[in-house]
Amino acid sequence: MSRPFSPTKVVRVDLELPLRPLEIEERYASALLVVAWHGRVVGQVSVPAVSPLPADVQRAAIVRRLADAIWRAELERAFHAAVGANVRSRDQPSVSVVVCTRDRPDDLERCLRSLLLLEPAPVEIVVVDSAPTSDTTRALCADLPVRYTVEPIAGLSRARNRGILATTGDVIAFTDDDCVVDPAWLAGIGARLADPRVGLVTGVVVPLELETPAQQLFEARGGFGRGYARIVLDGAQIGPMTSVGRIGAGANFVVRRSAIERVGAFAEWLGSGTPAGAAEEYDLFCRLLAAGDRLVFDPEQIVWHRHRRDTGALQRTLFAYARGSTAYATQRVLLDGDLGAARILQWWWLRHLPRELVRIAARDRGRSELRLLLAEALGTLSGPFGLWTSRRSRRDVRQLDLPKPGSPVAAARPTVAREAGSVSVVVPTRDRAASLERLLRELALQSYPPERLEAVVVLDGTGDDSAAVASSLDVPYRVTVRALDRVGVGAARNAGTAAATGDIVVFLDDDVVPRPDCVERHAAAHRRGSPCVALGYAPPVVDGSWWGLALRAWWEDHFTRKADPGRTVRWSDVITLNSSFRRSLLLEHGGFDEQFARRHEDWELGVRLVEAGVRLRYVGDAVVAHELDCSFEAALGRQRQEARADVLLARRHPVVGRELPLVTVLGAGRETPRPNGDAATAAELERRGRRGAWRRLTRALLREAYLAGVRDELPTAEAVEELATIVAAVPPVALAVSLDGGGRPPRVPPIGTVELALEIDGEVVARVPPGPPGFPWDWDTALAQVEREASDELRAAMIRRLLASRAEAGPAEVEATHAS
Amino acid sequence: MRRELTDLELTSPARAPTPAAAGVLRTTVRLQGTPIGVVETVGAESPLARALARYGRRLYAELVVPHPDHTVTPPTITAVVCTRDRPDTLEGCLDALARLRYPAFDVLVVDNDPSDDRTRAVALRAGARYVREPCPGLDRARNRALAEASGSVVAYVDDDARPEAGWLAAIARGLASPEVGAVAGLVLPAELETDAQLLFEDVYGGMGKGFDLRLVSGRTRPTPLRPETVGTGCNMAFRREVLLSLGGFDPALDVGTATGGGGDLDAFQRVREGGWTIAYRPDAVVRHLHRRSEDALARQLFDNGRGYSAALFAALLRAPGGDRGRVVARYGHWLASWHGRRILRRLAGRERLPLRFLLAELRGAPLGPFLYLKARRDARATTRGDRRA
Repeated sequence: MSRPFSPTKVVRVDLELPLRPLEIEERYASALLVVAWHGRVVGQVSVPAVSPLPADVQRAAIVRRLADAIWRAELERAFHAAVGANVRSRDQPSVSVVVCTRDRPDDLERCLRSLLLLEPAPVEIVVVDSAPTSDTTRALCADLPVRYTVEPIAGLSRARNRGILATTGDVIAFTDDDCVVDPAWLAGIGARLADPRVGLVTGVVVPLELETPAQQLFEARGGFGRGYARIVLDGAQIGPMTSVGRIGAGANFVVRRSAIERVGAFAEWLGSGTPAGAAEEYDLFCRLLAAGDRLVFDPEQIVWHRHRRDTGALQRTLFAYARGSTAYATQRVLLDGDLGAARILQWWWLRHLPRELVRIAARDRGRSELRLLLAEALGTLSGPFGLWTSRRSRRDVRQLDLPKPGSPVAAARPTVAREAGSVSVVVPTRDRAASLERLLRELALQSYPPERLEAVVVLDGTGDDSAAVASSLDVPYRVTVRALDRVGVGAARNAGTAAATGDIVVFLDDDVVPRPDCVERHAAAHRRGSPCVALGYAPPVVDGSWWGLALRAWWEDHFTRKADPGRTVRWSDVITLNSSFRRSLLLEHGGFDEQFARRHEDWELGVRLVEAGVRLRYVGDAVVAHELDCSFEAALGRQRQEARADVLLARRHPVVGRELPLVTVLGAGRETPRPNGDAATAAELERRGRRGAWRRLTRALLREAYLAGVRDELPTAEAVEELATIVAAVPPVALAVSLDGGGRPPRVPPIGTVELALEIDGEVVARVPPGPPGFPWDWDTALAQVEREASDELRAAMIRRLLASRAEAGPAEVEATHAS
Repeated sequence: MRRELTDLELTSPARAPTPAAAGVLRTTVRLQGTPIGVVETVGAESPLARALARYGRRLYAELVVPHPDHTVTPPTITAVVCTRDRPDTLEGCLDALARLRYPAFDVLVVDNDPSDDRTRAVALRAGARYVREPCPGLDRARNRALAEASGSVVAYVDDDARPEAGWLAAIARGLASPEVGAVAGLVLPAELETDAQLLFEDVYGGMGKGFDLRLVSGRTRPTPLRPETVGTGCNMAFRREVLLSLGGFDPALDVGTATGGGGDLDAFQRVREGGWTIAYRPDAVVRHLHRRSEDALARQLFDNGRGYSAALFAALLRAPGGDRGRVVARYGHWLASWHGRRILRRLAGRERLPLRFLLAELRGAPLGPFLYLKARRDARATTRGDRRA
């Protein structure tokens, strides 16, 4: 007894506009409303069809099903507006669009016509004709303002690589020929890529039509659905294999050219058109995650996909997905030794296929069919064979080469004014002769006139030939060496300042490599205006180890926060690593506190400078590459030093006490689990690809090291209690955030714990910390906290506000709704 | 314990009901007239705060999503009350009908097999049109109204029900699409004074079908056969042409015949089978006086049982060969999931409806088919008798 098939009409509904009755043709039994709220898809709602479909029926169904999604979207919008996050200038990068096609001119034409409506228009649209059998695609492209290239060798990956070679934009957007893009597909890409760690953005893929049983089956089995909430996968946090399936498919993604250049192009033995059949985008996603990038799924980036119309084609597609996926997993497990990829096989055989079998057994015919299950099962079984044949077939074909990542662009030669002040570069160092030598040589290449430049090398204890290296180098500028006997970093910097002769002191750590214009940029920052502290950018250079990725993530996020145009530079942003001060300013404020022998001497100074009203400036174009020590053992040592310095700092300046990770220790004596292993265990876990266990273990180890550091300084419970009381006595600073569209964006104070006072109509509805206590925060973490902690109160207050405005509208309106 | 019934219009919180010092307050929460839900508060608790906490998610969306423009040309509607020897109850209903806000309607009272003239007097005093249907049977009376009605839409309300002022306007909005053949509305209790009324409303489920506006599409196959989820006879409206083309109500069903009920369900089912869509409107509100005594309630549940199974049996007789299995399956499902499950839960102590009422409804279940055949025979005899006369 089979249910007669009836198609579903797919309609996009923009909910912020009044709904209109919809004409639904006779053949449709239902309508699928794809609901957008201010340009972002918040969900889909299925409604029984009548024609015209009254607006109030649509509205009722949408309100019933999507109330939560609408609230979340509105809260986010109100919050962004309140803090001014959405009005900041986000440069639109240059975007190239690549569409690969093979003998589907009708679909392609529809796709290209939608691409031509993109607002803003991309710099170019590149059509790659993959191993064409006729001239129709070429003829079609001749009539349209698109660039046409042919790739004679079959395979989607190959075609995509060819497309990349043909593009010039900084960002490359991919879609498929059976897709239609939303006019605003790329409108928000600048904001989405504002975080430099985001390498790739995927988006929503909604069905273009649901006319046939095959299309409905595909959609009912999940389709390309990935939900409608923004997802951020952080490669520095998670293993790629476990999560990459959550963020999307190859029909809709945008990638930075630099990211592709870093991790390499598409693997040409994968993807449709090869015996392996699919999985080329997952390979790229996984490699990006493994490189520590962030991958984002953004529901504002919308593409409509025409699913396969007949069941045979659907069967072949599902077969190809299963085969490609298992072929890829087999290659990762067997050839690359990545045991984590076994999870893909586990998902197919232990989760997906049994679940489908249960559905079929339960006769859930709308959702599954035996032949589709068989296609998938066969696909997974033939995966290893697909791997073999696919790699064999590519043996004689050279993968297309992409250009290697360019070296940082050399700065233009100096435009340094003659009257520029003299600059002293102070380099405190201890037993790192090699990196010291490299730094001093790089300083010789600076664009700043060498006669106005000197280097003051402060040797904080001498165990190697650093002194000899520093004094024997032949460099155009003057080098002064001060050798001290392990006085600590604060004292070393003070000694350097004292020995310096320049007006401006630039601190560079010995593990950095400055760009040629670095000193010049620092000097320029001090040229005019009130005295300030200039803080430069230090992109981290790490190895590919998991700890290295975590370090890079920490540092990049630190600089992204500083670079945020709506943000005040705060005391904790004062990092001496790559910074400059007017020498007189340093002397006036007494330089660094010499008690801070190991760490946080810069933060301590930062607190005093902020309290004295000195302006802090982030100078993002003063760049040094920061070669980080990525060994986890070293990190544990540093963590302990950091804890001791935190205690010192909290004692000296209780006002920042609550902004230090110390608060998590001072608070109620929460027992932390003992780490079940040590750094060696962590290394073993990394070797075996156990990302989750590694993350838990390293966290526990770091916490243990931190606790040990705290105990060094505060050995007794009374001492802890005493410091806790001092820190708790400082009240947080309330930062008014008015969510009703009135009020100005809040200015974050440069010092003091912040608490967001969320206001509606001038009344504080809720108070929420902007992030987890003791850690740096940004507006994204603040929004997450608001959603978690104050959602219900805010909604109730918003409802009261809306109700009050309705009441003012008067009873006439009520009357009207009654009497139609 | 009795519940005091009030209304809270969210857009005029100034007129919010004052919390009673003692007792339980049951508040219908409304947004610009449309009921959103019901909250119950004890003592000094504020119904407004309770409503915001409970319906916050939906309310927020209701308030920010812009309202579409309603420009419905109001159809002419005949509001029909079928009654039998209850002039006092009828009077309350006619009072409520007199307060309706709608530009084009008239009221028709059908007096079913009356034993005296009191009904006629009440109807004429209220300014309603009065017709008499001598043959007993609610569906006969409904058919008489269908024949006599002057409006293009016939809206039925029971004599023990009190429509709210916006009732017909909401029905008109429900008929905005020409594919909609019938509209069912929300039924709320008019009073909750006795245990029997509370049992019926809260434990049995009452007559309300929820606060969600929805369509039951005529474009899909009318399965599973669940007309009881669509609406109820004390608040339903049909396009006159649609019902006439389907042959009107089945005279072998509902009160006054051997089957004792099911006429409304059968009508909904046939409207669906005819390819028409049914709209459910929570803004078309009728208040219903539930049975006050437990005996009357038990009687009503017995009627529900036999009426439902009779309506199913009528559907079975009508069904084309291939569909009969589904109707029988539906009957089995009804016995198992509605009756069996509740009785088992009751025995396990997890069902609040006393066994007496559960069994009353179950008792009607096996009788339905036989009663239907008998009632059909009776109805045919009466019709023949009519013709002869």
